[in-house]
Amino acid sequence: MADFKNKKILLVEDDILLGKLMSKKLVENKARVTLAIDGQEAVDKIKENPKFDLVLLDIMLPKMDGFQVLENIRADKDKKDTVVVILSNLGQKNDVERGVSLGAKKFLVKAILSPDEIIEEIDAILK
Amino acid sequence: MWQDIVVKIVVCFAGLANLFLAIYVYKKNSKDSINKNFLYFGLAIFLWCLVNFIMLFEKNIFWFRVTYSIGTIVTLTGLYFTLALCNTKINKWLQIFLSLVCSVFFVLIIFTPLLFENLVSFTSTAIAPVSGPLFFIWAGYMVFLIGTALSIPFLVINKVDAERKKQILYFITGEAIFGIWAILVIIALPSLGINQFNNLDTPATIFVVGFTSYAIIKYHLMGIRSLLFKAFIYTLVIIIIIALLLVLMSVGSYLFAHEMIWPIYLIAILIAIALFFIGRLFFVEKRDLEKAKINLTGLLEQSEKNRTEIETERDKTLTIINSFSDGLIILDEKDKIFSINPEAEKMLGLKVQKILNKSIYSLSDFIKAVPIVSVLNDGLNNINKKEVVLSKDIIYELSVIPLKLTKKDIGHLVVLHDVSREKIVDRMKSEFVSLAAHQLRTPLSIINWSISMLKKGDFGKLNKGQKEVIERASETNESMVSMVNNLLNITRIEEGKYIYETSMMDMKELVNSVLNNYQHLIKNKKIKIEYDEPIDLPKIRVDSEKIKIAVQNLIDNAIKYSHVGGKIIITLKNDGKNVEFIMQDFGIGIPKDQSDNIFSKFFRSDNAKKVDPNGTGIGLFLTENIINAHGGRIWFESEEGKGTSFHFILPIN
Repeated sequence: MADFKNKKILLVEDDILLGKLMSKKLVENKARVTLAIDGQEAVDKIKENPKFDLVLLDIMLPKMDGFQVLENIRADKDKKDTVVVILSNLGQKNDVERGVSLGAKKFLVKAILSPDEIIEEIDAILK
Repeated sequence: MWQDIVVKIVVCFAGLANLFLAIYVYKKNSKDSINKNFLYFGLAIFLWCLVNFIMLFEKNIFWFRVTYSIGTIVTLTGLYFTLALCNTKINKWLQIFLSLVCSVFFVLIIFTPLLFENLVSFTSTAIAPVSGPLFFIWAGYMVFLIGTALSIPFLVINKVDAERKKQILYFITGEAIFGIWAILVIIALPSLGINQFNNLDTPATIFVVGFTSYAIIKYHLMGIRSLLFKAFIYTLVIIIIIALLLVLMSVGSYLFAHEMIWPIYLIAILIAIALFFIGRLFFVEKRDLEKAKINLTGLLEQSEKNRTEIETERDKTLTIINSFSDGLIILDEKDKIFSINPEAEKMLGLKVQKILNKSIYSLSDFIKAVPIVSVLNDGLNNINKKEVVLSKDIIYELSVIPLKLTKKDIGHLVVLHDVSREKIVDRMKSEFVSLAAHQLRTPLSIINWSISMLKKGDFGKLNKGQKEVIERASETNESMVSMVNNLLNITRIEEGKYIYETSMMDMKELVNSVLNNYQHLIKNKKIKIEYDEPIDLPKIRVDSEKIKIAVQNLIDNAIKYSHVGGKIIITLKNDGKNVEFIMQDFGIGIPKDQSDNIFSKFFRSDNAKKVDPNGTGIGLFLTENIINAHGGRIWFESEEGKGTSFHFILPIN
C-alpha cells in the first residue's frame, strides 16, 4: 500500500467514471485529490492553486489537449517544475516522445495497467 | 647424248618427286579419299617413270610394253583421283568395268603382240613400237579416260566452294597439259606413223607434279599447310622449270637437226587446245564472278528485306516498351543506359538525351532519381520489389531484372512500379485501424479499471458467485485488451514505429509471469505444464514488453490448441550464444500444406479455425516480427493431430 499522505494531486480526466475510480484509489492512499475534467479547467486549477505534488494528465481532453496543458505548465514561471505523469490511451512512439520532450516524468497507458499498477508507478515517482 | 641425259634426269626426278608427293599426301590424311587416290595415282606415275628410266638403258619390246601397260594404269588412277577431287562418284559397276578393262589391257599389252607388235628404230636413240590390231581400241579407251578426267571438272566447278575450285583449276591445268601431251606423243603421232617422240611422254608428268604442288602450297590441296613442305615444293617447281627448259631445248635441237618443223605446229596447236580448255575454266570462274555479283545483289535485297522486318519487329517492341505503364530503364552489359521509356522519364523527371549511354548512376543528376540511385548503389543484384519513397505520396516499387540471352548477360532491366495509391490506401487503412483501436481502448480501460477494482474488493467484499462472474469478465476483457493491442502493434510494425525499449531481462521470470496469468485457463482445461527452469540462464537485453507478447502468444496458442487434459512442455536452454525457448504441445498440430503460411498476417490454419473460430491470425505474425527484430529466429516442428513444438532463440549479446 502506497502512502500519499499530504500529497496534493491534480487528476485531469474527462471520463467521469475513470476519474471517479482513479480518485477513489488515490484517496484510499491518503492523497489530496483535485479533479479537472477538461484541459482548460486543468490549466485554471494549476494557476489558482499552490503547486501540486503531481499532475496525472490525460491527453485526449475537451477544450485543450494534454500536450497544450503541459506546454502551459512549462510556460508558468512558478509551476514549471511540477511533476507531470501522463495517463492516456495513446501510446505510440511520437506521442510518448512528445510527452517526454515536454517534461512528462512518465507515460502510462490506461488500458494496459490496472489502477493498482498505476498507484505503484506513482508511488515510485513520488518517492 | 646430252639430250638423253637430260631426259633421264627429268624422268628420274619426276618419278621421285611423284613418289614423295604421293606418300607425303597419304601420310598427312590417310582417311581422305582424295589423298588415298592421289597415292595410287602418284605410285602409278612413279612406276611409270621407273620403267621409262629403265627403258633408257634397256631398249627392247618388253620394257616398251611394260611402260604402255603402266601408262594405262596411270591414266585410270588419274581419272579416279580427279573424280575424288571433284567430289564426284561414278557408278560402282562402271568403276569395276573400267578397272577390269584396264587389267585386260595390262595383260594384253605385256604378253601379246595384239597392241604393240614390235619395235622400229629410226635413229640410234629414237625407237618406237609398231602398233598391233587392237591398238585403236586401247587408244579409244585411253582417250575416254583422259576425256572424262578433263571434262568432269567443268561439270562440278560451279558446285564446289571457292578454295576447292582453285585446287581443281590448278590440278586440271597440270593434268590437261600432261594428258594432251601424252595423247599426242603416244597415240596421235604414232597413229600418223610418227613414232620418234613417244619417249617424251613420261617427262610430261612434271606438269602434274608442278601444278599439283602449286595447288598444295597456294590452296592447301589435300589439307597440306606445312612450311617445310612449302620449301620443298618451291625448290621442286624451280628444278622442274629448269628441267622443262632443258627438255624443250633438247626437243628443239632434235627437231631442227632433222628439219622436222611441222610437228612443232602440231604441238603448238595442242598446247593452244589445252590453253583453250584452261581458259574456259578461268572463264567459268569469271562467269562465276558475274553470278556471284548477281547472287550478292539478291543477297543484299534479301538482307534489306530482313532489315525492314527486323526494324518492324524492333518498332513493335519499342511501342510495347513505350506504352508500358511501369517505368522501364534498359541497361546494357556495362550498366550503361540503353533505353528509357516515357513513363520512367516522367516518373523520375529525366531528360533522355542527357543520360543515354551514360552509367545508370549518372541518374543522380536528376533530383527525383536520387533515392532510386541510392538503392541501386548497393549493387544491381537482388533488388526485387524494393520500396523507394520519393516523397510522402510518391512511392515506387523498384525491381532489377538481369537480362540473359542464352546464358550470356546482356544487361539489366530496371522496372519502376508506382505503388503510391496502394500505399496511401494501406496507410489510410492502418490509420483507421489505429484510430479504431485507440477509440476501443478508452471503453476497455473503463471496464478494465472497474472490474479490477471490483475484483480487489474496492467496492466491498464479493460473494462467491459475484467473484466468479467478475473473474470471467476480467479474463474476457483482458483478451480483448490484448487483441486491441495486437491490432495496434500490427499497424505500428507497418508504420515502422514499433518501439523497442530494451532492458536486461530474465527469461525465467518472464515465463513464470506469463504462466501465472494463464493459471486459470490452464486449470480449467486441466492441462499439465512441465517446465524445467535451467540453473544458469543469463539475463538478456530485450524489449521485455514485446518478448512477453511473443511468449504470451505462444503459450496462448499451446493452451488453446491442446486437448483437455493435455500436456505442455516448456524448456529454456542456453548454448553460450543464444537463449532458446522451446514450447511443445500435443494438440491439434499444423497441417503440412499450410505450414508455410503460419507466420503470415491474418492466416489461420483450417483445423485452428475449427477449434477457435474467433482468433485473429495476428499472434504468430507479431511473434515472428518481435523475435526477428531482436536478431533472433523462430521456427517450429509439427505434425497434424500429434502436436507442435515452437522454438525461438534470442542472442545473449
